[in-house]
Amino acid sequence: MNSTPPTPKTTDAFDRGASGCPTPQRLEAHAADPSAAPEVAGHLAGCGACQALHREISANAEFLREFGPWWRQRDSTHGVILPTDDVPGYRVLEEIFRGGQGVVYKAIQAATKRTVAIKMLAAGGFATPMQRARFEREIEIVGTLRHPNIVTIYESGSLAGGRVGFTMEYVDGRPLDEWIAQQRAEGRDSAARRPAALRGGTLMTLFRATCDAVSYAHQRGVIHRDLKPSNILVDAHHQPHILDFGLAKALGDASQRELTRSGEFMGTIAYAAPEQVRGQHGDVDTRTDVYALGVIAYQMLTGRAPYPTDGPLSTVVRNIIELEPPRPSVLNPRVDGELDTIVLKALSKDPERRYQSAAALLVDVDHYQAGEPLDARRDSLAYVVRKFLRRHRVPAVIAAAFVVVVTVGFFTTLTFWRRAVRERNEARVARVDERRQRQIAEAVNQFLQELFAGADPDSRLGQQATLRDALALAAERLEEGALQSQPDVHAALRLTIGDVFRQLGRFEEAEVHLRRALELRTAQYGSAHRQLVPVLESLARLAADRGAPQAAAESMRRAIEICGAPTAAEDAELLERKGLLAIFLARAGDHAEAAGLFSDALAAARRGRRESETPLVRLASDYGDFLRERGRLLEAEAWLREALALCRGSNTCDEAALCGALTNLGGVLLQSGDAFAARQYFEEVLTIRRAHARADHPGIADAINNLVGTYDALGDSQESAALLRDALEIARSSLGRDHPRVCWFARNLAGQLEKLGRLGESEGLLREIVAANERTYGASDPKTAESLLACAGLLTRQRRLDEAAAMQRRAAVIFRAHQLAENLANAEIAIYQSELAAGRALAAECVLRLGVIDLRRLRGDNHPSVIAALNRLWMRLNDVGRQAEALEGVEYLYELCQPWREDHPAFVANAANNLALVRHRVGDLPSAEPAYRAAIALHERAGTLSGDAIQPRVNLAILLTSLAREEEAALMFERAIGEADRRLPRWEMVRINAICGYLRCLAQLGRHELAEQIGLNEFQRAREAADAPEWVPQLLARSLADVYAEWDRPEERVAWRAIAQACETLPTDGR
Amino acid sequence: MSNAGPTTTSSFLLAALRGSDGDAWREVDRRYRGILVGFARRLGLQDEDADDVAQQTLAQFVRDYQAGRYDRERGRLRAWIIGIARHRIVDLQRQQARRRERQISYDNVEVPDEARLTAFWEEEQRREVFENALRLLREQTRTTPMTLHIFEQVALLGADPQAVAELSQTNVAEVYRIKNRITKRLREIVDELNAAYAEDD
Repeated sequence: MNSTPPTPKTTDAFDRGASGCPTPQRLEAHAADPSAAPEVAGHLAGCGACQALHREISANAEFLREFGPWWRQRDSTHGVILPTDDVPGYRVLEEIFRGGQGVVYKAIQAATKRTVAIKMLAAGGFATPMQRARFEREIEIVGTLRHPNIVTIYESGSLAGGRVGFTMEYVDGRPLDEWIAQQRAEGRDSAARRPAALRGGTLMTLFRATCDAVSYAHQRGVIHRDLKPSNILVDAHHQPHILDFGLAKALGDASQRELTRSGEFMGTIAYAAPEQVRGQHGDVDTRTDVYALGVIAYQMLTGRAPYPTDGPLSTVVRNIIELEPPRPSVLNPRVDGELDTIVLKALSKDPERRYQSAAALLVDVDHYQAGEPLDARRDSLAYVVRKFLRRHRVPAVIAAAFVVVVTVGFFTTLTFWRRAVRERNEARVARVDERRQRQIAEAVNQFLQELFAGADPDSRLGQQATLRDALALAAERLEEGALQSQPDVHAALRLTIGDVFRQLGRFEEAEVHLRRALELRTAQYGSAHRQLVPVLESLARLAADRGAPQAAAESMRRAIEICGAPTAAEDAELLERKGLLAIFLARAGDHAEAAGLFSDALAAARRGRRESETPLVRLASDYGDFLRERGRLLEAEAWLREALALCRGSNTCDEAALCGALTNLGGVLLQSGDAFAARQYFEEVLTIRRAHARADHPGIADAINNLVGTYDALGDSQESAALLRDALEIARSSLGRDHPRVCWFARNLAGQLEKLGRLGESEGLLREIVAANERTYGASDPKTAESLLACAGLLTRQRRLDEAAAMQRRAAVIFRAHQLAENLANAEIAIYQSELAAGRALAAECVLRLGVIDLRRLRGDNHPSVIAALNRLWMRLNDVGRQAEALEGVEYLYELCQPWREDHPAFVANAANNLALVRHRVGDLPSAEPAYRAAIALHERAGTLSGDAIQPRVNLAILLTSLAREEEAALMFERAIGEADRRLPRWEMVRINAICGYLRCLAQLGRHELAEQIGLNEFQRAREAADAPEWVPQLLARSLADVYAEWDRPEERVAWRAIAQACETLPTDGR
Repeated sequence: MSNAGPTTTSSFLLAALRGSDGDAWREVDRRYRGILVGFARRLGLQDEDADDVAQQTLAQFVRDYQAGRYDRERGRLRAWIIGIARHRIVDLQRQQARRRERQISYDNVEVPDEARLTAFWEEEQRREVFENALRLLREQTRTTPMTLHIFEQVALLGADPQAVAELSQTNVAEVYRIKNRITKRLREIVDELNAAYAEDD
């Protein structure tokens, strides 16, 4: 959908006359105000052509004085003069609807001959490019919805003049309200006098299909926000088709629009939820759609709205917020108590009391239609407990942790997102032994009631209680013998407590409870019963969290063995466990078995695709991440794109899997250096999570944190810091001050603040983290050591070297005691840098050598960490001019890392680059060149797109320049600079090196002027940019001096040398 | 350019109607239906009811005319149609009040006085003319969407011609030419359309 600019015409009456005639704009200015263009008056007197033109212009102006205001006052939907036949590729048949946002046409797509609807939006020329881009992206997301009851969007695009629109499925139907009115008028449903007839009738079937569609969209992170009968078309087969899904958001918040446009307000406020009319737009989520579904159901059943919606606005708003609607059965005797329950629950004023999702509503509609007991009634137990906890002012975190126990009975999953899926699965399994589950839940509830009731009001669990206190108290009660007679309940609680401790990072306590849960269940059911599986899975996750992947793999393997040959329904979970096992194995270093397991599981998942795409998507996504971790970025990206395409193309894939695929794909792209592309996926995850969860859910903080990575990669610290501040607030309010994730966000924020030069704030945060870790883990814990290192790093960079070194040594001692090789290496690098900064070169070298020894002791000779440590040592020697030793070292090292060629090509590539670099330095240019080329090839194979991949190109180009192969070199520089411009921050060292090398190369080629132009331009930018480090202008000035030397312009050469010297120190980079 | 719209004046049209000419009936329909619907909406009717009122009014108008009840000397054509429409609207409201079918605010809407009704009609007629003029402009002039967009931005929205020229990748002189050329064409179409209603009042 493109347009071409108008071709200027030359035969028009408004063309300029003979030369010397005023331009149309001057004539127009004169027509509007003769004094504005005095020279025109003189000309007019003597030019007949211009007189005629002037008359036309005046007449036009008079006409527009009437027409313009009329046109502007028209309904804004007419804002665009829309020629109905200018949608390329479509033949427009007729206008079928004009509404709040635009106009809808019925049209035929020329290529396919299918009938479509085209919706053109009013914003047109007013929309900024960013708004349009946003709109198109939203449409793209919404366009992935494929559900028989959602009107499918085919494509979107821009037309001439920046108008935007999209094409969608054409539905030959009537709006739901008309359909209801007609049904009632015809009395079609009045034949059914008994509730039983209502149960399976057209009405409920239609409503069920509507819920199913909304639920489907919710699972993809799309909220409607403007559900109402006029947005639901009913076709001749009584099938609903929902329109405009998710568009309310794409087009600006629907409810906000309604509130500002009184003309349209009355029509839709009837379906607005209390949180919407209160203007709490932040609270609009899936439950807002649930509410609208409630109103629609009410209307379908009773023929009227739940509250009067005519009369003054303030009254209507008050009704919505305060008035409890009469039970539907009062207005329609055919409605029974169960339907009352469903509708009224959907219509709860408090979103917390509503069905939490359309899926939950759907489940109860299904229960109702099948004559089964409703979840709505069952849920009241959870509600009672929540109320209870709130009344007793138990902190929200504790309440949240325990409510899960009450509603589900188990709390075994890693993340909220997986939990949602799990809840559904377990609900399915739970139906089998539902009675027992309920008994357990009730017993747990009773236990909690006693626990908290006994503690209130002046107890150990007062208002200041932390989750840890609550868990400890619960554990104590269990130790004292509570629930001894009910091992089921006891085990469920132990499992929960263990899991919560694990998530708090208190692994030792977690282990105690999980082991106890395992004992209890083993004693009750034997050692091979399925009841052991969730416990084993939790133990596996615990081991993984503790950095013991072998133990994790063992537990998971046992869990999988117990599952044995799964039934079809259990297949999905088994596959998920296999995926986890593969991840653990990979972490334990058993890549071959992990890869084998992945490929088996992927094959099984492909076979089971008819059931659900979810397992396949999740496995492909995990496998992609596995590949990413091993540096195989291109393959990883391919797998992840496949996972994403599968997920988007299916309606059986859940949002957790979608978010997983999006996050992992973003991760690969980010690691590949394509932060822009990564951002798009992380943003989508954030959108989905915001749509699904409470505003302070930690999952949202995670999503924000991922997004920050993309801003960070592009050097946008301002934005990164702002986002991280949000993430930190969210995490703090839901997880408490000391939680590991809170510390993680705080640490990232500290990093960004440092980049922004806000050192005091940064240090404050880092010291808080140290204190938090000391409180949580103790003073000798590796976690505490990590935070010490982070804090010391900041001090080093502030040249507070002694303070820093003290912290770093403390950290090294802790890591050595725990035999944590890589952490120890990091601490040693930190000490090395401190020594170097303090000018103690010999001490620095000693630390490096000590590091090699430490790592060899812990990891053996052939480990990547050892190679990395050796690399540091050799490159250090190279830097200080001890090339002979360095050369020997890097050659040895290159040999040493050959076994990693397949699995870690990027790693070997860096070794090749360093080998070449040292050869280059010692003047062995002929053997440096092939080593650089090997590095380039290896990076290409690895798909590396970061600065590492550009480095050998730049080095090789410099080498070629010195070999007088300038043409070749220039091409290589150009490619390197092009890639750096796309992938890296402007002032990245490798990019500046490339530019400086390019300048010299151009000068050697005799293209002095071009070199001068590029050099001056870049120098100017570096001087003007606030974020350019000092060494950038210095290097550029030095290169410019070289250019002038080559050009034989000695005065400029001298001047630029002086400028270069005036700049400060060059950074001491390890490379 | 010719045939911009209805060029037959009302008296010719009425003469044709007397001879039960199908084309004349269609022309009356085309000329007044849109105005009548808008007029009825202004008096508070829902879309469907407004459509009904327009249909009934037009039918009655033709019946009355063919029965010779309209006397040009006694009043204007416009006032006559307004009179019919007004009766239909009041009828409809009475029916609905009797049925008490919907609690919509019809009861509160009083039919405005003669002068207001005439003003409503004139506004609706103007709207009809302008809307039709835009449609005809699109249908009859060989203009690209971009040209229309430029016209809309500069002539109707008062956008800066320089900015529009840049956005449309053309020059300012061309933007002015487009503005004047399209405005002139639109003005001519409006004049032609208005001419058809000239004898109504």
